[in-house]
Amino acid sequence: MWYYFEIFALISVIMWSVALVFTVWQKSKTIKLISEVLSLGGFISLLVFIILLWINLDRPPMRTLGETRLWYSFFLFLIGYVVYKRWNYPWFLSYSLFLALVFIVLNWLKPEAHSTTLMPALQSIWFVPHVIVYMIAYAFLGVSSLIGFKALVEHSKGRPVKLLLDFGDNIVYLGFGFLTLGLVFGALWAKEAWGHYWTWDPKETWAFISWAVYMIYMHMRYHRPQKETFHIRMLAFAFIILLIAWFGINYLPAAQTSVHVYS
Amino acid sequence: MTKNSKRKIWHHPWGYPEGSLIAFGLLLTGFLLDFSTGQAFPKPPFPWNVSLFMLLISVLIVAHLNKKSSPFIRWLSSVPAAISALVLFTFISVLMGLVPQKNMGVPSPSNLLDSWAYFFSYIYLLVVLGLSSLKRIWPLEKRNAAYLLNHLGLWLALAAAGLGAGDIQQYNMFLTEGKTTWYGYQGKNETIELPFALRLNDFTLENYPAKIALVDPKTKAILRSAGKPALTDLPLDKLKTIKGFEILATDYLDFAVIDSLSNFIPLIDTGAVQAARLTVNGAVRGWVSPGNFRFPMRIVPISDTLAIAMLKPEAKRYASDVTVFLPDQQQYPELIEVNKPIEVEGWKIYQSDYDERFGRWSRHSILEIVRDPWLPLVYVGFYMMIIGAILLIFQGKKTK
Repeated sequence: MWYYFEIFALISVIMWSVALVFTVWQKSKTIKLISEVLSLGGFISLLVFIILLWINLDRPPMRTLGETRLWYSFFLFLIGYVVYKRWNYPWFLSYSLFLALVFIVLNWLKPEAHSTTLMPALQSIWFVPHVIVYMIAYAFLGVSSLIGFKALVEHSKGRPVKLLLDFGDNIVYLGFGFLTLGLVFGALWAKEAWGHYWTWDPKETWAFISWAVYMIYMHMRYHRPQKETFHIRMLAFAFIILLIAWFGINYLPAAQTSVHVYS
Repeated sequence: MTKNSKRKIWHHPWGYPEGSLIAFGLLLTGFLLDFSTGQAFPKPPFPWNVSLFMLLISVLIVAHLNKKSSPFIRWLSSVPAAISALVLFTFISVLMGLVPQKNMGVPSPSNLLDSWAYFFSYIYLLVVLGLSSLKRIWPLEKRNAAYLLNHLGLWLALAAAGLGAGDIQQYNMFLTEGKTTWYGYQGKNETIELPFALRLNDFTLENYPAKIALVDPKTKAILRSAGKPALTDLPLDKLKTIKGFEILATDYLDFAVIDSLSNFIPLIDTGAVQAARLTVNGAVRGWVSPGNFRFPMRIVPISDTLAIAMLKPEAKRYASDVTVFLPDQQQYPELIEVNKPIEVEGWKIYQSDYDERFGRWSRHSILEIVRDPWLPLVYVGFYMMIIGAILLIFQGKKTK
């Protein structure tokens, strides 16, 4: 169980679910308008929830996996909505709404004991920027993976995917920029907290691996843009490596000594 | 690969197949060396590492200047070479991410950082990344800014981190309140005399209110509820429910001692302990306390198989109030706290630990001291990567 204000998270889920249905069956202008209003309403409600949680815990709600999932949903929707408005892809809003919903609902299925304690090593000015920048990166790259799956479907139907892949490049470059910031911020923080900027802690190792995988993808795209089948698959599945770095790592034997294994 | 499909392997211009074979060859050679020598690759200290750094830069520049006459050098700065180097380095990283690593000197699957395979993949990456950076350095153009910052920044960070590894010194200092210390220790044997001394004036530690948990009254082991440990923050201002028990702390004492009637009374005295008086399902049930070196643990029994206990409190912050003494007789006070290291005579000094048996009453403080003369160079690389990443975010992809 969370707190009384989890009602705001519930409101988000309801509004987004209805919005999702409306974006899929977008028959008229009115329905389109309603779906946008509901999406934004859900977003604001989630924001209220996060702020209240922050105040209630008296620390940034970024320590546990569940807390990072909240931010993930938050940025995923924000990015999805901006992309949808900017490039006018209606399917895009549905996809990001769906993914954002999945991550909020996960918090209901796996409720956490929220604790106000924050170990001294986490009490740093780097804590908030490090986590936020990473969640933005994960959200962009999650979105790029959606584009990958969309391209996978289009490709199997024999439709051209060049435009989708070019669009994916924009998102990957944005995500990779934030991923780099997260990595370097983490290193600068580690030097202040633990005495060294890089110790190949399991989380660091997997963060490096996911960074490298996107680096490989970007170089391949640049060098051999015509190898579309390869790119589509890699774009869609690179995100899995990222998910390992984010929470899959908690289940790996190598990670049991990590300073990053969240409670 | 259509363009190259008629080309025989190892005939220039090289592409991906040669890259794969070179990467595989380096990996195999590395593992064979590990297996046959059974020794870590050397990490030379100053001045050897500086010489190697100069040598590496010279070799890269000379190679770059001669690339017109050598298709091999041209290939080394190409994307296929970059991908083979990245894949090799990432492959070893994946091994490190799957097999738990411990640093023990002898290369093995659980100590890849000391393996020749890691060394070769690192050097290969440095050479390829270095040549790729040089490719766009001259003529210096504004449109190459993001490329150069990202590639050269990473190269600088990697090169300085790797070559500087031999110069990193890391020791612990054990301070006792009222005493002055000027030695650092590593493991059991190695000692170093430091160019400064520290006197610990006071070690302070603040705790969070201790958590409470449902435990087995005999073993004191924490019970589980819905797959998770049945524990919660101290329910100070509102009821908390664990496993159907509504628990409320009506009193909480951060510093308490036990009086003659076995009650907890507030008193700031050495060894004072945390204690809380609990009501369970509305009825007053008594005091819980985690106990410490002075007082025993106190639990609230609910049934034969169930009790409420208070856990050892978690530290909120801890710090060492010290006086620093320098060789020139100068002295000044400093506060060393987690996440707030200080710097003295080229050493970074970190609050690391304390005597956990005594918790906030510890009179000992353990500091970690680190000297890393290559750090500024690594940081220049990091800052270049930060600017490069920001440019990447705003400029996006540039096509050929």
